[in-house]
Amino acid sequence: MNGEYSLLIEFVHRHLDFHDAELLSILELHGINNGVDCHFRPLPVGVSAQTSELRRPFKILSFASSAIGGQFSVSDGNDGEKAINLVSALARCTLIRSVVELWGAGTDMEACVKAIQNGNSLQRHQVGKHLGSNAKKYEDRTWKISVHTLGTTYTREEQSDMRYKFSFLAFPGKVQMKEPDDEYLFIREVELDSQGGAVYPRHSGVNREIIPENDARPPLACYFGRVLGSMGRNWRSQRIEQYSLKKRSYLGPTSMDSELSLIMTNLALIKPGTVCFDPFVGTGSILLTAALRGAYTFGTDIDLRVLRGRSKTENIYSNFRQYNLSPPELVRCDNAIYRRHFREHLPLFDSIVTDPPYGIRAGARKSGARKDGEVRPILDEHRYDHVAQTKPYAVSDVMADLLNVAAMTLKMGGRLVYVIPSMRDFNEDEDLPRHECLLLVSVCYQPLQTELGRRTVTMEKIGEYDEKKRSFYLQNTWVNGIESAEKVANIRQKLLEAAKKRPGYEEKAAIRKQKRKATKDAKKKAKREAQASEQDGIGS
Amino acid sequence: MRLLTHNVLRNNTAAAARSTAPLRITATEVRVDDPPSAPSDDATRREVAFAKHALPILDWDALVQGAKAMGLDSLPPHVTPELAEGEGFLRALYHVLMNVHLVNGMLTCPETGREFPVTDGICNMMLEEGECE
Repeated sequence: MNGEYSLLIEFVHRHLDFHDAELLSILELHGINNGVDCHFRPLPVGVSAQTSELRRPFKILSFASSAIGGQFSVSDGNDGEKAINLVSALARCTLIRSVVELWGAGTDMEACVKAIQNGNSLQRHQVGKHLGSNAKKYEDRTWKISVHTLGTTYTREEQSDMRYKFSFLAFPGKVQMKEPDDEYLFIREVELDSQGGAVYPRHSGVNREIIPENDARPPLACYFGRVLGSMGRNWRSQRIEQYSLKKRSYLGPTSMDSELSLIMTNLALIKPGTVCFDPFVGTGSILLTAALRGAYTFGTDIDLRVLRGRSKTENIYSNFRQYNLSPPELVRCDNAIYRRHFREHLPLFDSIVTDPPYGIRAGARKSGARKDGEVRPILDEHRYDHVAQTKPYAVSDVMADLLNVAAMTLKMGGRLVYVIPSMRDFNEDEDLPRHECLLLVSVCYQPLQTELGRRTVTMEKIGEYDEKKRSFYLQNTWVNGIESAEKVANIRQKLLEAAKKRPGYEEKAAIRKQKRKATKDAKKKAKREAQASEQDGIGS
Repeated sequence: MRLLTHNVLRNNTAAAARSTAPLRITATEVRVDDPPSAPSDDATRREVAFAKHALPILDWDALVQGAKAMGLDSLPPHVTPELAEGEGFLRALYHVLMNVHLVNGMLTCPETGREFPVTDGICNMMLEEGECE
């Protein structure tokens, strides 16, 4: 539409359910008011498409033309004003693959070309005001046109034909293949399945023969524009690289995959100077991501071994040092009795981001005797190293306590982002834990195995916490009472039961048992040998 | 463990009868991180903002006591409104709250004598079975 400056956003084909939630969080984080400063526009839809259930990896986000170069900027150069740079804002989205300044969109190639001709993108580019004061003049700008055909391959000649359709633009500058001033992109969109492959593939199986009916199908949409985020194909991987999990010296079995922790820290609106809390900090992967985003970090955990790490050079602190970050605050305590250790419900945190223990890879524990009533007093000389008994902490209680601690300790408007496992029978509307002080912002589902998935839940504090209502809050966590709590609890057992029913379970279990015994015996042997050689050394 | 954390910690077990007294610090090993010699404007602004937001929630007496136990005598006994506005004061406050680490030591509850060890920077607040109630 004229008068508007539009961006075409392409998402990666992963974490599909998270695309919108993450993008909206990023807009909010940068003070971009969706619905006022910008609007989402509908994508073109080809006539033949059955689009009711279709998930498309694109979004069109439009701004008032007049705002570009004023309130917002899209250029690389910093003109020294307080303009919000849309490209660097959107670069923070983990799930965005590319951002394109949209020149035309249509249901097919012709419609796309027409849209460009009817629009004023070329004229705007010729004037170049939005490119910033350091930009090269239009006549001197080198360029190239890239072709991006989703889920389909075309030959060089066919791609060349597509490029030719845009020759009417008649760019005066030279063509340059490597890092031109302007990279233009023609995108041909077709229907994609959940794996990111074409629903109507152009080529068949092994022989790569063209399937005529599929080849003749019109596209879902065609887009043309100028690539922002100047590193082209590598733009995304270069942005994500700095957060790579693989570089860290201390990892554990429960370390959050770094892409999810990046997304979670975006959902939590973390920015420099804010305070982030992880009550189940484990190996600190989420806190590390929060710290990389500039937050002050605080983590607690009941497990002293995981807090201390494997050694002085392989622990949470060493991970932070590796990235040159200020160390997190780590306290060993029990989230179930948070109030025992901290002053009255202080709103200390801007965000709480966590992956609570849900008994699948690491069992949740809380303080207290395993069998109630069996409490032996600890002698003072043992107290220092005493590992206090912990008892299993039902997942449903974990969630109830987490929400209550969040309501207590978040600043108003602060966000809680957590992960909750769920089997297929989970009903988002009814089975999520609730709290009067917290508003549900988004729920994003990620399938893990056939039976199991996990949901990333984002909540915002909207009401002041009242200590007098504490029991009320805890009792009302689960709307369907025991039923909902049950769905979350005992997931490990349910998974085990489901696994037992599968063929071959017995054999696999026996093999695993053998392996465990073998590793245990090997360790014992190594220990004995080490001790024996030590003694030899002392003796001689 | 930083002084900011110490400031918000309490021993709230039944034995301490919900006392609101801060824990006494016995410092065996303290580490002070030097602030960067030439911090960027952004970093300075953030430190000042952080200190400013932290100030209202601080138990000032506890902070002064805690800082003394860690070897820092520079904090004033009271904070006047003028002082609270000064950038110099706020930056110094930030330094005390965030750059001074108790690496090894003990936190002691003044009511019950209960001790919470701090080892390698990690404060251990775990309660025993009987204290959980």
